[in-house]
Amino acid sequence: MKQLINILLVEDDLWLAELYIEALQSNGNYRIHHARDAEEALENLDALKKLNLIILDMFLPGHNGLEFLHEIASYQDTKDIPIILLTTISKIEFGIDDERWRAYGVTKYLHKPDTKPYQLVSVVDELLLNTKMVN
Amino acid sequence: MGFNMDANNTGATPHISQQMFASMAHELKSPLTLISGLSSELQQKNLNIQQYAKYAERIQFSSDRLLGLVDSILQGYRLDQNMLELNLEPICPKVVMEEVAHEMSPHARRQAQLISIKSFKKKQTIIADKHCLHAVLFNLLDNAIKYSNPETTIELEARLRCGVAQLAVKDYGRGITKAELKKLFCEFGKIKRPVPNWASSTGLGLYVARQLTEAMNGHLDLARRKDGSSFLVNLQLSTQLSLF
Repeated sequence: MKQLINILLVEDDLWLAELYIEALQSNGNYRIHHARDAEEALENLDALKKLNLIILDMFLPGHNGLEFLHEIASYQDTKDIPIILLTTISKIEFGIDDERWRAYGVTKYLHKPDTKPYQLVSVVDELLLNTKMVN
Repeated sequence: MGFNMDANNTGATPHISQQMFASMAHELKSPLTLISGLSSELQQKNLNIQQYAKYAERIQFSSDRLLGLVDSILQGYRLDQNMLELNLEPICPKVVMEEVAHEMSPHARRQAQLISIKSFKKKQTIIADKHCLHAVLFNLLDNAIKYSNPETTIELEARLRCGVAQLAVKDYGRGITKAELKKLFCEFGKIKRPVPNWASSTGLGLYVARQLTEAMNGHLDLARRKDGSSFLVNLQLSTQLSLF
């Protein structure tokens, strides 16, 4: 049986989440876990430890994406999970430089309005399949 | 104020502060991102008829949402610039309530909510501007749908209270706390709480509703209840009876 790569998508817009999940699952390589907010994502830390990638929206109900990043970075088992930020705020508007994003574990910063679902899949493929990050 | 003249701007063009601009841009980007993503998938994939219909419906829904957000922003701008032109005349509130309920019913259905309408027993009319009244009720109903529990009924009612007309928008949800009340009618005064995925907001809706009500010589009240909220639009009665 083919071993699937585990990805957590943290996205509060259910329609967008559905769109991304359908696109990511279409090649049969990925198992997508979905959380609507940071609290839901952090509920099961054991499950988080098995993740190969986190795709994170920054504007979330309750704790925002930055707080989630802090939390993830504070645990030994989760601090090295690569993270793709997928947000409506452009990098310039955020005013956080690449070095700080890297310190948070952010591997890739994607501006949501410019990222079509198939483009997200390409970025994830490149990150996970081509660089063989998965054991 | 939201649409201030920039101190450095010597020209005639007023513009909004950076923070408010960023907030509005973010709210507009959310439905746009969805429209863009869905359209892209329609072109990329071989979808079956059900998927096609679902994607098309969501594009339509998000487009309507976007238009509503743009309308709110423009109304906020016109209010701040004193650019409103009102035509106050006798209006049958039931007609406007039915129009707004019809427009908003797809949003309510998505939440398994019903919209009920009750009006005066007599064919009483009120003094209002039709477009303004429509915008007021639209914003209040939009707010009620967003913050009501699923499978509840949102009640629109026109009634007489102490010689004035009162149009009530009554919802059943978590209600509004005292702390939240302070922010409620402020420009860009969004309350932080989870809302449905489609329910992006500029934070202008209740501000616009209150300002437009006051422009029609009325006032907007809020009655807080344990099981929800009632927004009350108080307007003058007209002596003319409706033909409808």
